[in-house]
Amino acid sequence: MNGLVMGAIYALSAAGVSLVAGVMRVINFSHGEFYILGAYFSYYFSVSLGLNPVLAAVVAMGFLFLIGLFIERTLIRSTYGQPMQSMIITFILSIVLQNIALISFGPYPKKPPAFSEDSVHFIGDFNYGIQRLIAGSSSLFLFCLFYLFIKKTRFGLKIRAVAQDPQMAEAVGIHSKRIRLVSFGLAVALAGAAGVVLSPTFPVVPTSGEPLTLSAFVVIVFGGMGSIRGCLMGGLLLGLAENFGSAYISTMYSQVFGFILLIGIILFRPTGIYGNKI
Amino acid sequence: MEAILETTNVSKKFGGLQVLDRVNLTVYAGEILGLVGPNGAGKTTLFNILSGAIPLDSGTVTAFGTEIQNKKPFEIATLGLVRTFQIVRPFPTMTCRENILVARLLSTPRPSVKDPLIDELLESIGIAHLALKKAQELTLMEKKKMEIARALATTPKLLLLDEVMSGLNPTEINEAIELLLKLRKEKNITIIWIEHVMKAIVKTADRIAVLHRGQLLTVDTPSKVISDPQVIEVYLGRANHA
Repeated sequence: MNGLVMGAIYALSAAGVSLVAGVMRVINFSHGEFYILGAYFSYYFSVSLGLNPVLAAVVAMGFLFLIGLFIERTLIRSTYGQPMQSMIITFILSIVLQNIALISFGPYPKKPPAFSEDSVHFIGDFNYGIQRLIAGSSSLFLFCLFYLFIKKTRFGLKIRAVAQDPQMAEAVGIHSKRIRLVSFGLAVALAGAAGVVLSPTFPVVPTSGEPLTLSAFVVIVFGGMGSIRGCLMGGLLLGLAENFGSAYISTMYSQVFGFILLIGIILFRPTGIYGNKI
Repeated sequence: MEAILETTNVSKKFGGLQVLDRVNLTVYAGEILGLVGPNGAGKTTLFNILSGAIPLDSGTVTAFGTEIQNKKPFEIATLGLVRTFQIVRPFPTMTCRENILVARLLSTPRPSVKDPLIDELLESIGIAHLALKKAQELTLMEKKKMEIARALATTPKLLLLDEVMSGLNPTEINEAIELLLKLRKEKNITIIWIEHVMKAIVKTADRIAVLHRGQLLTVDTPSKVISDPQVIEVYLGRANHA
């Protein structure tokens, strides 16, 4: 159960990385930092401004979307076609954002209040359980929303066209720059969403974004580059692998199991579960 | 006749190589203009400039009465000038139908998935049975047809076709020629058509423009062009060469 919940959250955060990698050919190392920003925003909106936690979550995502647009415009746009530069820029961005978070939010773990008042009435282990359940199901819900958006809407169709062949997309009249801009904003908002749903369970510190970025990349390799279904499968696989590993072998090495599986996948199925190209 | 596209002194250099040298070309509404020339003559470069994919060094391009040389590809496509590429470029993991739907977004702000025009196009191009197949699973001929259908779905006024016949067998070429003539008749589209298969282009085009080393050698009816000594020289070498 735990594995499935974690899996859904992994899938959600990987969806953003996959979107950016697919549409913009940009490897975004700062994805995890947007995740912690999402967590901090929802914390401050709900604790300091006293907003309803659900409302705070939505506002936080909206904020991150705008931040994403701004960052694409200022930093990412000039690196199109140069994967190395974009990697360096997003890597630097990740360090900068970490330190901004450290200065403005402090080094102590922050934990926004739970979404549901009901969960407060439970005590002991159950309290934890319900919270996670909410986190897992809302991740799954957001993930499905994202999936439908990409597969069923006109804008999603444009996004897929730009991802598959940007020049051809322009030739049939798609404004690919704008598509990239919005995609990046969307990806950042997705990262933020993961932060929002996860932080009531796992309080965030300024450096807790890094492992998330890493796991997002692992998930993408599992599922196959540029496949949304792959993100979900990969996320669940990673979540389960880590949990079964911790349960039956040792919690000390929970992350190791994911990486062992990763090595296996790279050896035997380098294109991932659904991937058809690298 | 009404001029639909006009280039004035279009020039382009790649490094020290003059790829296009003061090209002046006028295309009239409703015609099929063949564009021929040996490899490296600058045909595809001219297409790239017309469609806005690369900037020109000097000169102007006027289409439908507006200057377009500084416009971006998607803006030019919006005006009604749409191209295909020499190498087929479908969106590989989309179905045929989705490929065409993408192009429909241009002319209709809210096309539905069940847009009747898509079916009509698939039908008239003869690939209706492939609608739900992924583009990467099609044969070359099917992909080419799909690309033409996709270009047509934008409801273009001027269509640039870059070597649609290459890699096709003679039967398929005849099929493609019929398709082009049918399209012009039914949709009233002007076509500029780059082609290496001379037989096909002589049979189909109203006029043929010959490019050689970036310069426009001649523009005339097919019969005059193939008997033009200059053109023969470009293609076959000088008759009395030692």
